[in-house]
Amino acid sequence: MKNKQKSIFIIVFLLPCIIMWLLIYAYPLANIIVTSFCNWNYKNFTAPEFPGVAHMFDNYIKLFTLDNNFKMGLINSLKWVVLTLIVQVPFTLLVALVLSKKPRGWRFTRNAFVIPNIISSAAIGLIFMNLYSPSRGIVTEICNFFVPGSNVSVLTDSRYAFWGVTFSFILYGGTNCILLLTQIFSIDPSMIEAAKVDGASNGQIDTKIIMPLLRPMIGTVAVLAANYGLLLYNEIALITRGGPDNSTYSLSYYIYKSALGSTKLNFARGNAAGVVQFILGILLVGALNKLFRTNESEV
Amino acid sequence: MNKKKALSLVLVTALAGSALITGCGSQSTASTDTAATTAATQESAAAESTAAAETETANGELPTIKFVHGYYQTAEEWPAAEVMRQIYADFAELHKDEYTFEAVADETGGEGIYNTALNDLSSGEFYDIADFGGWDITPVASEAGAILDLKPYLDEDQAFKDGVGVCYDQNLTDDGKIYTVREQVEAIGFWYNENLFNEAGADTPDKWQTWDDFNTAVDKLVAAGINPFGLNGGWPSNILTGASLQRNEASREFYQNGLNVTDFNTDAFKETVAFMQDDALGKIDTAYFGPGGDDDNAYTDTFKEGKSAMLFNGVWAAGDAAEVDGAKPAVFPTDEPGKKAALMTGGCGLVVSSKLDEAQTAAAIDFLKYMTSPEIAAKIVEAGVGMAPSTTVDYKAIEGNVTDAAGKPLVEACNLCQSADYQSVGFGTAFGGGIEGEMSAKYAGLKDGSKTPDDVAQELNDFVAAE
Repeated sequence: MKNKQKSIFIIVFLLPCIIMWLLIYAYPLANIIVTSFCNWNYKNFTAPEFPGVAHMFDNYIKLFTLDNNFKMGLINSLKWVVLTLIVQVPFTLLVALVLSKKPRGWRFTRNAFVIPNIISSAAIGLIFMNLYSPSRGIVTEICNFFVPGSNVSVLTDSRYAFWGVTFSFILYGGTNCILLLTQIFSIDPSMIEAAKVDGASNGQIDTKIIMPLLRPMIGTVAVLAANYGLLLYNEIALITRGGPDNSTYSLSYYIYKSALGSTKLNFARGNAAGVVQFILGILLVGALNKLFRTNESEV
Repeated sequence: MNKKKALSLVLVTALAGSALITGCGSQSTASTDTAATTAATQESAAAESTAAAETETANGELPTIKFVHGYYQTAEEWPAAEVMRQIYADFAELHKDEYTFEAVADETGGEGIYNTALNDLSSGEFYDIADFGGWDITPVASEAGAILDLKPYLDEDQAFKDGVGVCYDQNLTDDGKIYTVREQVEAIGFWYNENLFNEAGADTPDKWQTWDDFNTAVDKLVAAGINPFGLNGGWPSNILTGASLQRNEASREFYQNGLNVTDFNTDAFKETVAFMQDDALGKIDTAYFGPGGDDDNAYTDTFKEGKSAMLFNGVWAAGDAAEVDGAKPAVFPTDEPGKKAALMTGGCGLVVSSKLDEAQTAAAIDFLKYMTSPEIAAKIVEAGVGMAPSTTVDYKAIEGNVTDAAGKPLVEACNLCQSADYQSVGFGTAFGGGIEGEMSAKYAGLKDGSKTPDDVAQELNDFVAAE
């Protein structure tokens, strides 16, 4: 009887959350999934039409077989996921490990590293657009210094534009660095002292003690960073608008362009791409959680 | 563990339930015949209209109609905006005893008005009347049955029909409806700096007979160290592409069929792309392919600074041209000796709701007639705002009334466009916004040689197939 009352008590408290979850998360998500199998564009703007079982996968088939912009967006998004995992996460971890030693000026460095993360990505986008501008920016000047007459225009050359977008976010791991630092500072100092007494070097302490203890947090940081790469939109919308020659499309930018970027208003296609992105996100989070065993604490 | 399972089951069931609700909602709507829905909407609107009209008569109040436009700028920012607002205010004053005409400037401009309309359409609403400034709301709004077919009103009034000029044919849909008219059109020839042409010893555009003369003049300008023109990955490049497609009968036919083109792998198109690659992009050192910011307007700036000989922009760039010593308007050559071509797009402008009552609809039609009348046509041309759609406007007669520095070249440019042998819509209207955007993305590759005309044709074919 007591247990039953307890269960009712828990359910009553959970109910508002479940209702909110249904309204603001489950319903829109279900809507996206269902309408991705429909025809939904300017011709039936207010009423998505189910085309029948035989044609319900048409949007997905077109995405993967005919739509070069989607394929470009998918490939780029996956590249950004990989780059965040092999560049941003290790770089952030390295900065956190160095700062955890509290060298001279570590507070200033930590704060300076975090600043880009508290500036809006819109402002960052504008900053990079100006940096890359052949007429106002310094990147072209630097390239001309090393290769006179090269006149590199980062954002207008499809060979460089992808990297131009990448460098606008890849090194900004300030928030993740704070998470890692907090975790490092929560490690029992006696473990590190004991290692030092046993003659362990700083490198050995970092790699044999701190990093294994940090594993779940590194996993969390990897999930956050990879997710950012997968969902990248602001930087592209501001810096390249998907160009040149659509070479910097991302999945998110493709979704916007399909649904609202033309008078065709192809919401169904955009939603199909959204479902693909959602599935990738789920797989990514699952794989990273598994890889880093984020549910198992070492501390 | 069991509780966990039970909670998971509840959440999964809830998600599935949501999906079911979403699907059912769509299916039930989808199963309804579109035509029937439209008819029902119109019937309901008519019933509402009658009821509303009766209410207003009973109350003895004047009908009110709200007009939303994007001319919000101050006179200092854009003098044309003030001219347009005054035109609206004059109309309101003229009819103040019959109805209340409320003109509201939306500071988000045409794009914001378009986006608001999209949101409104989701809930079955629409502006009473709005100026979309080129943002084409008509496909989605007409399918939703939210906007008024203006064709019956145009067909019963010859003066009204004359006033909308090229908009009548250009905005006529496949099912014989006209959902929008405009008081001004996007008329496009180009501007040239006569002094720079003379300096290079090149024939000026008024003497050109064919596109070969264009190529010869460009070569002479380049040889003299003068930048022939500035381009970017969009507007001016698409103007030149559209103009090149007017060169002969085959290319014009391809262009006119633009919205239905599924195969770009044709001689007409590939020759134009080759022209863009070799004779346009290949003749300039720098093309401004920046994604935004002031790089986009650099092609205009170089002309205004006297550093380039031609500016591919509309008649409305008369203000920029007036700042340049020796600037003159011109229209494009064709491959038929002496024949000229201009691009004139009516596009999406004034759109009226289909849900207005009788009195409001009459007021809206009054307003459209007023906006496309010869008086307003003269006013917008004389004030240097733009070109009127009517083909009956006598620009020679208007020229005498123009005192504004930018007004004179504008009138001259309008006259040239009006008298061009071939007049077609702009590239974006001809092929649709999707192809316009895709084509814009190809110019950088054509410039650096990483793309060939065959590549461009194939990529556009792929894009059309994927749509």
